[in-house]
Amino acid sequence: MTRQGEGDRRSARESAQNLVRATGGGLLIGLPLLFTQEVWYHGFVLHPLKILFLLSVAFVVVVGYNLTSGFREDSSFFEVLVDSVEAMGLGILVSLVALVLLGRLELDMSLREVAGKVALEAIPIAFGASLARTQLASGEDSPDDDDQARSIGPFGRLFVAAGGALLFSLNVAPTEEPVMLGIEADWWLLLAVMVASIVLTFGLVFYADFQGSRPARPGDSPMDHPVSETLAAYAISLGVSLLLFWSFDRTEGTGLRALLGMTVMLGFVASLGAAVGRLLVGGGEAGAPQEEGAEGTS
Amino acid sequence: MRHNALEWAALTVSALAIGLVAILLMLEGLGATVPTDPALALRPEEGRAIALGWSIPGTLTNAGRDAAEDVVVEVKAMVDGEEETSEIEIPFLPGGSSVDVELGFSDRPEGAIQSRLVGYSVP
Repeated sequence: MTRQGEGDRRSARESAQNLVRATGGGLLIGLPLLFTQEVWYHGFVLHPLKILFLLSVAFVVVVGYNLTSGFREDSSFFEVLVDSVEAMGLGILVSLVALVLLGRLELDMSLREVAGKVALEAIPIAFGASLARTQLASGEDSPDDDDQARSIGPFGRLFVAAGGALLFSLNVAPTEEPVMLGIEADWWLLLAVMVASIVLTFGLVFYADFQGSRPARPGDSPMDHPVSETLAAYAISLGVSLLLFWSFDRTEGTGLRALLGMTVMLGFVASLGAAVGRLLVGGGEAGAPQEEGAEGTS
Repeated sequence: MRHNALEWAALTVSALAIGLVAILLMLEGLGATVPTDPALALRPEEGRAIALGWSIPGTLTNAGRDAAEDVVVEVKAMVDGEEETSEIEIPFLPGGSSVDVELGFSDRPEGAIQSRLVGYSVP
């Protein structure tokens, strides 16, 4: 959440604007899953503790993202925590209202079904709310570049990469398609998808000149190297994909060959999300400096 | 930084919403497992003539806590002296939930109507 420039307290108007912005961002990101039948279905089929686990992971990601993106150096952890709780709470409330408006929640439904659907749909909405507060604020509300120049380091970027991977793959993981694609693909096709995922995300983050991209030059740390960061982000993407398949009960009774194929296919989506996440938080001070040839300065 | 009243209200509501959902999920998750138990309650007295014969409304309920997928229920009744079978398939039946159904026959059934569960898959 952004801070008021002069005073020590936001006005009620600014707070209201923040909430409306967060609601809009949450709906923008959460809309595809709100209209996905498989997610409603998983809301009552999945074990409630698995849904709670997913919700907890999402909360950690939201806190991590808020810590690493869009906050000034003097933001306290408590403020970040407050904003994260608000983002998750908003996600739950918006999810509840949207599902009622879509006719997916009715009075004769069991509490388990209602809670499961609302919790699952709240995850992308909470992500969207956080993104809206940190990335979609107007120039007046957004932190200045000087303010935002908190160096998050290579591991911070990888944390955000995990969040991006989770957000993107969450849109696809509940559906049948990644399972079908993974099972039907030949081994050479899966290898080609792996190579494509790595090359594409390397290009997006280090070459394509997006806002937030960085020159492909190594920093001091071994993890602060474009190749190692790309490979680590891809590995994280595969891990996130596997975690989601487990969460959505896709791993039980599934053979290793099928599981590999499914993970690689969903990993393609997750790796793109990881790349977008790293672009959003930019380079900070880590990696190569951006002043010269800084095609991708933010 | 100090927060204004609206922010405190948003924080309170958010914390309550998160807590409520988390507690509900925990209670459901840690509670005793009750297997799927579909039951069909027909209402023949509300039956009505339709263009293709006779329709009888009913409610299919899952008394268990676990969900069922592709639930198939068969209903038999005597129509014009002959046994007639009607069948309905429900794609998803969550635990503790119910769904209204309509079962069709060629004409108004006579006597008792028998129903049975054909089967379902465990999601």
